[in-house]
Amino acid sequence: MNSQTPIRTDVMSVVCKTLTLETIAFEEDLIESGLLDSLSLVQLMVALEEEFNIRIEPEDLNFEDYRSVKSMSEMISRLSPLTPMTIHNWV
Amino acid sequence: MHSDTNLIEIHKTPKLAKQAKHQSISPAAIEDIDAVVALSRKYFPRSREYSINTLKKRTTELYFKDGKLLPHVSPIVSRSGNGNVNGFLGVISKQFRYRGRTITVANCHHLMATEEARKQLMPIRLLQHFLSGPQDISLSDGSSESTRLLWKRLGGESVTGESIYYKIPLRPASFAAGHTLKQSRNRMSKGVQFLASCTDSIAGRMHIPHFYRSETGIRLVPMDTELMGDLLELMKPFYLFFPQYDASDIERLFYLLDGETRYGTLYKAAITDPDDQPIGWFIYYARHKGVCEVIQAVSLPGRETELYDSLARHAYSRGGVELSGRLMPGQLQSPFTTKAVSMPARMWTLMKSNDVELKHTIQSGNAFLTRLEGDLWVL
Repeated sequence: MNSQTPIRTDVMSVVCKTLTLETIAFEEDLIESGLLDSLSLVQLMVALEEEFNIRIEPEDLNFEDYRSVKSMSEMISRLSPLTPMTIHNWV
Repeated sequence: MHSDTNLIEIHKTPKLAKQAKHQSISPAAIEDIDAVVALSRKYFPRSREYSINTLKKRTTELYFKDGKLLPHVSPIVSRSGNGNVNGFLGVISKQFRYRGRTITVANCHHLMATEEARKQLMPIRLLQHFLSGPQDISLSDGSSESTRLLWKRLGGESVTGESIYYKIPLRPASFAAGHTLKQSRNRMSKGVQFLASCTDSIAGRMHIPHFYRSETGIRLVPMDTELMGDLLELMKPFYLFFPQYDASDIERLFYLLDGETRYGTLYKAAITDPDDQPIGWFIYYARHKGVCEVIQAVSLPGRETELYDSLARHAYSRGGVELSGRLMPGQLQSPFTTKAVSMPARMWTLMKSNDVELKHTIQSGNAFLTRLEGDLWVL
């Protein structure tokens, strides 16, 4: 089983909830299909940060990371979860 | 810094790389004006109050001089694969002085994108491109909540103290009727508005408080370029962060203000006390039986009440029903707030800078940010 599978499932769940979709394919292009616009992208980023306890810095923002559940899962696995101290620092 | 014809991102897959080639963001050129005007008329309904030719002329005057972009930071456009303009972000830059340094401020406005461009995330891409420009500080005046969300995600922040708008009734009955019956255009609503107008008129003649504006003893002096320059100099010592204007800047701003016809008649005056000592000035558009939109109302510290009284009386005598404008931080405890019926943060002032000290200066109300450089009267 791929180590990313739990992340994928959770990302899929966050994407469906944020974009109010019933289901979505793992590699479906959210931008190309018109499901994602600038505002829903921001909402999605916030939801992912909360769900995975990560911080997406403005300078690290690459829109291609949000093109599909697959690319989002890859991005999240690259980012380390925040420690309580780091959370404290930016709250 | 991005080059003039930069692509947006380095993409990872062949499919995405192909799309990247077909999406670009670059400084607007004078040849783009037609497309920018078409976007503006589509997405900013108020711009339809201008003829297409007037809108083209004003847009050109705002961003270009002798066919070339004005210096510093420029407006940007995005293009689709076939080269058509599908998004725009207006940018005006201004030099400020801050602790002996010259600071370049870029003020952005009128973020627009076609439906097709929105699907390519063009609004946030345009903002990201703008925010990564060479300016020392990026500002946006009068931004919507949606833009604020995008801006904050890109590392910016809102300046709450500069985002407060006042709404002050000058003719209370007409003000209340107008807001209550805003959407209604039937005969009964006209009747109610007529009755409200009569109530204001009678109450005003009877000198009933709130319905009447008494003489203030303050003198009004017609504003010209030279006087405005003098008044700005007078105000400079009270702010840490202050815009640099020369006579030609002020002349140009007055020219742009004079050309705006949608908000009513423009009035600009300096106010002085009975000893001819300056107190401040106001610039606003008055609409008879309508909103008087304040562009600038500025006074020396501690003279806010005199400023307010003279402005309110002036607008009242021009038939204004309501005074509306953006509060300056020094006016927080003044009639501009105590007389206001609502002060919603309906439009945001947004800021982004890497200079922490400068950001603190702006957040703490020590910056002279006015609507003169804003987008109220353009596009």
